[in-house]
Amino acid sequence: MSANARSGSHRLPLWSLFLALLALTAAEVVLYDIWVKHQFIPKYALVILILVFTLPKAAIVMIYFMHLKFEKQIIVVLAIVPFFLATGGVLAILTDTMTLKPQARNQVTAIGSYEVDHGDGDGGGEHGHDDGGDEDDAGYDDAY
Amino acid sequence: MSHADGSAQGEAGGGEAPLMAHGSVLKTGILNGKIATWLFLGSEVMFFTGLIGAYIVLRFGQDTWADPTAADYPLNIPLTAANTFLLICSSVTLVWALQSIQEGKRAAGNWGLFLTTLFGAVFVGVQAYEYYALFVHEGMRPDSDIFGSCFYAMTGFHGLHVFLGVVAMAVLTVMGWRGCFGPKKYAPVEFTGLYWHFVDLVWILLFAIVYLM
Repeated sequence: MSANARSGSHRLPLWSLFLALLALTAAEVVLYDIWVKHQFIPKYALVILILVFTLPKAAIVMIYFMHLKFEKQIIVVLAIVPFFLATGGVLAILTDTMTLKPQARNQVTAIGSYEVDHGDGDGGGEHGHDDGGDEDDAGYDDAY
Repeated sequence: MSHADGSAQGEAGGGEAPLMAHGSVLKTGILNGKIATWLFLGSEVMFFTGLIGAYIVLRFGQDTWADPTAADYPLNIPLTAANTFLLICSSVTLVWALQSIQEGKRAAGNWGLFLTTLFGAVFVGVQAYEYYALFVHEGMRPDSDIFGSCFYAMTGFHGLHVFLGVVAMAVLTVMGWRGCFGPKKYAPVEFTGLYWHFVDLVWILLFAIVYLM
């Protein structure tokens, strides 16, 4: 493999990019493995650290492999806008989820384990479902 | 919109054009195929965002989740990390293939396409093995719990995308061996490559979100 690859008339440091992706992936896995064994930091800190390793990998693929660095502005807009819309959508829903009180979150759990808790027949299933819906509504009422 | 004649047409971001025999370009000077590919990828972003968003929201709504520190944690992280490495390799070989085709190195380009197809196929195979192990040995099914349904929905749809990409790459490989590509005719490789790199990008995110967080 040649040392450099070309995107249009632009040459990419292909080996450097490959090694960077490899190193970031290895760092992620090693960090995760150490955390599972020792849990030396809180879980939220692990998530932040993994994001620190993951987002540069995603950026490398978008900017270099997908040629965004060398594309016209309209292509960059086409590529970036969905990502902002997507991120904004998730954050908006996430904010709503985080406003739920623990009681309401537990009720979501109950709905999630519906088959296990209430799935004892047709009649029971229907009853259980109705209960879950009512509880969910109550949870939202409490939350707001 | 103007129709190109294969000798002087759209350009790839201020540089050399991905020339096609019968391609067409917009007034922007960008090939229609590239615009269409990016619009398609935009819709794919929203599709996977729906899955990832649902996963995040469901997870925040739960007090308990699959615990990676537990002895019975079902996911095989080393195997999946190796699979991630394979997919990254496939993106690199595809960049190498496109570069070789652009420079007129047909054999190298064909080998690059073949290796990309091979890596992608192995990725799908390893994922199938992972599913088998989870189903048979771990008893983890889509209807086991919310984690199971989220896991299979997200990785399954991604795996389907990789499978379709492997089929596309296999077609490109055959076309390459038949001499369909050259320094002035490589747009199909570039457009399919965008899709392939996008699938790689999605996996980078899924691997972190589903397996490591």
